Amino acid sequence: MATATACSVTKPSLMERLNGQWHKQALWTYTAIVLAHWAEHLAQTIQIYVLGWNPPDARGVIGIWFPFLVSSELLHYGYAIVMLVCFWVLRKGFTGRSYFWWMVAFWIQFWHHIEHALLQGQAIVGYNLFGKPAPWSIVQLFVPRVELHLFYNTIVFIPMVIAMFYHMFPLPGEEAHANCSCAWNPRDLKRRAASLGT
Amino acid sequence: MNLVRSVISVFVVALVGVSIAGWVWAGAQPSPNREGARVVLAICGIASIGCLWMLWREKEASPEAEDAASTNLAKN
Repeated sequence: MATATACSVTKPSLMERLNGQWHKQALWTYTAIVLAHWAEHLAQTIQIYVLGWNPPDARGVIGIWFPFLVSSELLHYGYAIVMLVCFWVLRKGFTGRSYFWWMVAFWIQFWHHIEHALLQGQAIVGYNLFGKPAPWSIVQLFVPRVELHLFYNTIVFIPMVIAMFYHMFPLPGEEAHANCSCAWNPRDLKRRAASLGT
Repeated sequence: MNLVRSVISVFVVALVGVSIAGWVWAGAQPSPNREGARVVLAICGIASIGCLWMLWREKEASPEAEDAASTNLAKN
Protein backbone atom coordinates (compact mmCIF):
# COMPACT_ATOMS: atom_id res chain seq x y z
CA MET A 1 0.00 0.00 0.00
CA ALA A 2 2.75 2.37 1.07
CA THR A 3 4.79 1.40 -2.00
CA ALA A 4 1.85 2.00 -4.33
CA THR A 5 1.29 5.44 -2.80
CA ALA A 6 4.95 6.34 -3.15
CA CYS A 7 4.95 5.28 -6.81
CA SER A 8 1.83 7.27 -7.62
CA VAL A 9 3.43 10.38 -6.14
CA THR A 10 6.73 10.16 -8.00
CA LYS A 11 5.49 8.87 -11.38
CA PRO A 12 5.04 11.79 -13.82
CA SER A 13 1.66 12.08 -15.52
CA LEU A 14 1.23 11.73 -19.28
CA MET A 15 0.98 15.52 -19.62
CA GLU A 16 4.21 15.98 -17.64
CA ARG A 17 5.99 13.44 -19.82
CA LEU A 18 4.68 14.99 -23.04
CA ASN A 19 5.97 18.36 -21.86
CA GLY A 20 9.18 16.97 -20.40
CA GLN A 21 11.07 13.85 -21.42
CA TRP A 22 8.84 13.18 -24.48
CA HIS A 23 8.45 16.80 -25.60
CA LYS A 24 11.11 16.56 -28.29
CA GLN A 25 9.64 13.40 -29.86
CA ALA A 26 6.10 14.79 -29.59
CA LEU A 27 7.13 18.00 -31.35
CA TRP A 28 8.94 16.12 -34.12
CA THR A 29 5.86 13.96 -34.73
CA TYR A 30 3.56 16.96 -34.66
CA THR A 31 5.84 18.91 -37.02
CA ALA A 32 5.86 16.00 -39.51
CA ILE A 33 2.04 15.93 -39.53
CA VAL A 34 1.78 19.71 -39.93
CA LEU A 35 4.34 19.78 -42.75
CA ALA A 36 2.58 16.96 -44.63
CA HIS A 37 -0.72 18.84 -44.44
CA TRP A 38 1.01 22.08 -45.32
CA ALA A 39 2.68 20.50 -48.36
CA GLU A 40 -0.75 19.38 -49.60
CA HIS A 41 -2.04 22.96 -49.40
CA LEU A 42 1.03 24.24 -51.24
CA ALA A 43 0.61 21.56 -53.92
CA GLN A 44 -3.05 22.50 -54.35
CA THR A 45 -2.24 26.18 -54.82
CA ILE A 46 0.57 25.39 -57.28
CA GLN A 47 -1.88 23.27 -59.28
CA ILE A 48 -4.23 26.27 -59.51
CA TYR A 49 -1.84 29.23 -59.80
CA VAL A 50 1.01 27.72 -61.78
CA LEU A 51 -0.44 24.73 -63.65
CA GLY A 52 -3.76 26.46 -64.38
CA TRP A 53 -6.03 23.67 -63.07
CA ASN A 54 -9.65 24.42 -62.17
CA PRO A 55 -9.99 24.85 -58.37
CA PRO A 56 -12.42 21.87 -58.02
CA ASP A 57 -9.87 19.61 -59.79
CA ALA A 58 -6.92 20.79 -57.67
CA ARG A 59 -6.84 18.30 -54.81
CA GLY A 60 -3.18 18.38 -53.82
CA VAL A 61 -1.16 15.15 -54.13
CA ILE A 62 -2.93 12.46 -52.10
CA GLY A 63 -6.33 13.95 -52.94
CA ILE A 64 -5.85 13.01 -56.61
CA TRP A 65 -6.07 9.31 -55.68
CA PHE A 66 -8.35 9.74 -52.67
CA PRO A 67 -10.74 12.63 -53.51
CA PHE A 68 -12.75 12.13 -50.31
CA LEU A 69 -9.73 13.44 -48.37
CA VAL A 70 -10.45 16.87 -49.88
CA SER A 71 -14.25 16.71 -50.10
CA SER A 72 -14.91 15.30 -46.61
CA GLU A 73 -15.65 18.08 -44.13
CA LEU A 74 -15.19 15.55 -41.33
CA LEU A 75 -11.53 14.98 -42.19
CA HIS A 76 -10.86 18.74 -42.36
CA TYR A 77 -12.58 19.26 -39.04
CA GLY A 78 -10.77 16.26 -37.51
CA TYR A 79 -7.40 17.64 -38.58
CA ALA A 80 -8.27 21.11 -37.22
CA ILE A 81 -9.22 19.71 -33.83
CA VAL A 82 -6.17 17.42 -33.64
CA MET A 83 -4.00 20.49 -34.30
CA LEU A 84 -5.81 22.47 -31.64
CA VAL A 85 -5.48 19.70 -29.04
CA CYS A 86 -1.75 19.26 -29.81
CA PHE A 87 -1.16 23.01 -29.40
CA TRP A 88 -2.88 22.90 -26.01
CA VAL A 89 -1.30 19.67 -24.76
CA LEU A 90 2.28 20.61 -25.73
CA ARG A 91 2.14 24.24 -24.57
CA LYS A 92 3.63 23.75 -21.10
CA GLY A 93 6.96 22.62 -22.53
CA PHE A 94 7.43 26.14 -23.92
CA THR A 95 8.72 29.10 -21.93
CA GLY A 96 9.32 32.82 -22.44
CA ARG A 97 9.20 34.08 -26.00
CA SER A 98 8.60 30.62 -27.46
CA TYR A 99 5.51 30.24 -25.24
CA PHE A 100 4.16 33.59 -26.47
CA TRP A 101 4.41 32.57 -30.13
CA TRP A 102 3.07 29.05 -29.44
CA MET A 103 -0.05 30.57 -27.86
CA VAL A 104 -0.44 33.04 -30.75
CA ALA A 105 -0.58 29.98 -33.04
CA PHE A 106 -3.02 28.28 -30.65
CA TRP A 107 -5.53 31.16 -30.65
CA ILE A 108 -5.42 31.55 -34.44
CA GLN A 109 -5.96 27.80 -34.77
CA PHE A 110 -8.87 28.13 -32.34
CA TRP A 111 -10.66 30.44 -34.79
CA HIS A 112 -9.68 28.23 -37.74
CA HIS A 113 -11.27 25.30 -35.90
CA ILE A 114 -14.49 27.32 -35.33
CA GLU A 115 -14.73 27.92 -39.07
CA HIS A 116 -14.29 24.18 -39.75
CA ALA A 117 -16.87 23.38 -37.05
CA LEU A 118 -19.34 25.62 -38.90
CA LEU A 119 -18.64 23.74 -42.14
CA GLN A 120 -18.91 20.37 -40.42
CA GLY A 121 -22.18 21.40 -38.74
CA GLN A 122 -23.70 22.30 -42.10
CA ALA A 123 -22.54 18.98 -43.59
CA ILE A 124 -24.18 17.06 -40.70
CA VAL A 125 -27.46 19.00 -40.66
CA GLY A 126 -27.70 19.15 -44.45
CA TYR A 127 -28.47 22.86 -44.46
CA ASN A 128 -26.05 25.42 -45.89
CA LEU A 129 -25.73 28.86 -44.35
CA PHE A 130 -26.13 32.10 -46.30
CA GLY A 131 -28.16 30.33 -49.01
CA LYS A 132 -24.98 28.88 -50.53
CA PRO A 133 -24.89 25.69 -52.64
CA ALA A 134 -22.27 24.08 -50.33
CA PRO A 135 -21.20 24.41 -46.67
CA TRP A 136 -19.89 27.95 -46.20
CA SER A 137 -17.88 29.61 -43.40
CA ILE A 138 -18.07 33.22 -42.23
CA VAL A 139 -14.83 34.57 -43.69
CA GLN A 140 -15.53 32.57 -46.86
CA LEU A 141 -18.17 35.22 -47.58
CA PHE A 142 -15.28 37.53 -48.42
CA VAL A 143 -12.43 35.21 -49.45
CA PRO A 144 -12.51 32.13 -51.74
CA ARG A 145 -12.02 28.83 -49.91
CA VAL A 146 -8.63 27.80 -51.33
CA GLU A 147 -7.01 31.17 -50.52
CA LEU A 148 -8.75 31.35 -47.15
CA HIS A 149 -7.41 28.02 -45.93
CA LEU A 150 -3.96 28.72 -47.36
CA PHE A 151 -4.13 31.93 -45.32
CA TYR A 152 -5.29 30.18 -42.14
CA ASN A 153 -2.59 27.53 -42.39
CA THR A 154 0.03 30.21 -43.05
CA ILE A 155 -0.86 32.37 -40.06
CA VAL A 156 -0.86 29.29 -37.82
CA PHE A 157 2.33 27.82 -39.29
CA ILE A 158 4.44 30.99 -39.00
CA PRO A 159 4.03 31.63 -35.23
CA MET A 160 4.36 27.89 -34.69
CA VAL A 161 7.78 27.67 -36.37
CA ILE A 162 8.94 30.86 -34.64
CA ALA A 163 7.92 29.28 -31.31
CA MET A 164 9.82 26.10 -32.16
CA PHE A 165 12.87 28.09 -33.25
CA TYR A 166 13.02 29.99 -29.94
CA HIS A 167 12.37 26.71 -28.13
CA MET A 168 15.33 25.06 -29.84
CA PHE A 169 17.53 28.14 -29.45
CA PRO A 170 16.30 29.81 -26.24
CA LEU A 171 17.12 33.39 -25.43
CA PRO A 172 19.63 33.93 -22.59
CA GLY A 173 17.92 33.26 -19.28
CA GLU A 174 15.06 31.22 -20.76
CA GLU A 175 16.95 27.95 -21.23
CA ALA A 176 16.95 27.21 -17.51
CA HIS A 177 13.14 27.09 -17.44
CA ALA A 178 12.75 24.38 -20.07
CA ASN A 179 12.15 20.88 -18.67
CA CYS A 180 12.71 19.08 -21.96
CA SER A 181 15.69 18.19 -24.14
CA CYS A 182 14.56 20.24 -27.17
CA ALA A 183 17.23 22.96 -26.85
CA TRP A 184 19.75 22.38 -29.63
CA ASN A 185 23.27 23.37 -28.80
CA PRO A 186 25.84 21.31 -30.70
CA ARG A 187 28.71 23.52 -29.47
CA ASP A 188 27.80 22.80 -25.87
CA LEU A 189 27.55 19.08 -26.68
CA LYS A 190 31.05 19.21 -28.19
CA ARG A 191 32.39 20.88 -25.05
CA ARG A 192 30.76 18.25 -22.83
CA ALA A 193 32.13 15.45 -25.01
CA ALA A 194 35.60 17.00 -24.83
CA SER A 195 35.40 17.29 -21.04
CA LEU A 196 34.45 13.59 -20.85
CA GLY A 197 37.42 12.72 -23.07
CA THR A 198 35.30 11.17 -25.84
CA MET B 1 21.15 27.28 -35.78
CA ASN B 2 21.80 28.16 -39.42
CA LEU B 3 20.84 24.64 -40.52
CA VAL B 4 17.49 24.79 -38.71
CA ARG B 5 16.55 28.24 -39.95
CA SER B 6 17.64 27.35 -43.48
CA VAL B 7 15.24 24.37 -43.51
CA ILE B 8 12.41 26.55 -42.18
CA SER B 9 13.28 29.23 -44.74
CA VAL B 10 12.81 26.77 -47.63
CA PHE B 11 9.15 26.34 -46.66
CA VAL B 12 8.66 30.04 -46.02
CA VAL B 13 10.24 31.08 -49.33
CA ALA B 14 7.94 28.56 -51.09
CA LEU B 15 5.07 30.32 -49.38
CA VAL B 16 6.26 33.71 -50.62
CA GLY B 17 6.41 32.28 -54.15
CA VAL B 18 2.90 30.82 -53.90
CA SER B 19 1.58 34.14 -52.56
CA ILE B 20 3.06 36.03 -55.53
CA ALA B 21 1.74 33.44 -58.02
CA GLY B 22 -1.68 33.61 -56.35
CA TRP B 23 -1.69 37.39 -56.50
CA VAL B 24 -1.09 37.27 -60.27
CA TRP B 25 -3.68 34.48 -60.76
CA ALA B 26 -6.30 36.32 -58.69
CA GLY B 27 -6.00 39.33 -61.01
CA ALA B 28 -7.91 37.37 -63.67
CA GLN B 29 -10.72 36.38 -61.28
CA PRO B 30 -14.05 38.20 -61.08
CA SER B 31 -14.63 40.75 -58.33
CA PRO B 32 -15.23 40.42 -55.31
CA ASN B 33 -13.25 37.12 -55.19
CA ARG B 34 -10.28 39.01 -56.59
CA GLU B 35 -10.07 41.53 -53.74
CA GLY B 36 -10.60 38.93 -51.00
CA ALA B 37 -8.01 36.57 -52.44
CA ARG B 38 -5.48 39.35 -52.96
CA VAL B 39 -5.86 40.69 -49.41
CA VAL B 40 -5.18 37.32 -47.76
CA LEU B 41 -2.39 36.45 -50.20
CA ALA B 42 -0.74 39.80 -49.46
CA ILE B 43 -0.95 39.07 -45.72
CA CYS B 44 0.56 35.61 -46.36
CA GLY B 45 3.47 37.18 -48.25
CA ILE B 46 4.10 39.92 -45.67
CA ALA B 47 3.83 37.44 -42.76
CA SER B 48 6.30 35.13 -44.50
CA ILE B 49 8.81 37.93 -45.03
CA GLY B 50 8.35 38.93 -41.37
CA CYS B 51 9.03 35.32 -40.38
CA LEU B 52 12.27 35.27 -42.40
CA TRP B 53 13.33 38.54 -40.77
CA MET B 54 12.65 37.19 -37.27
CA LEU B 55 14.53 33.96 -37.94
CA TRP B 56 17.61 35.55 -39.45
CA ARG B 57 17.97 38.55 -37.13
CA GLU B 58 18.97 36.25 -34.24
CA LYS B 59 22.70 35.84 -33.96
CA GLU B 60 24.44 32.68 -32.86
CA ALA B 61 25.83 33.13 -29.36
CA SER B 62 29.61 32.95 -29.06
CA PRO B 63 31.02 30.35 -26.60
CA GLU B 64 32.22 33.24 -24.37
CA ALA B 65 28.74 34.77 -24.29
CA GLU B 66 27.20 31.38 -23.46
CA ASP B 67 29.67 30.89 -20.62
CA ALA B 68 28.92 34.39 -19.29
CA ALA B 69 25.18 33.71 -19.45
CA SER B 70 25.64 30.38 -17.64
CA THR B 71 27.72 32.09 -14.95
CA ASN B 72 25.08 34.78 -14.48
CA LEU B 73 22.35 32.14 -14.23
CA ALA B 74 24.39 30.23 -11.64
CA LYS B 75 24.90 33.42 -9.59
CA ASN B 76 21.20 34.24 -9.67
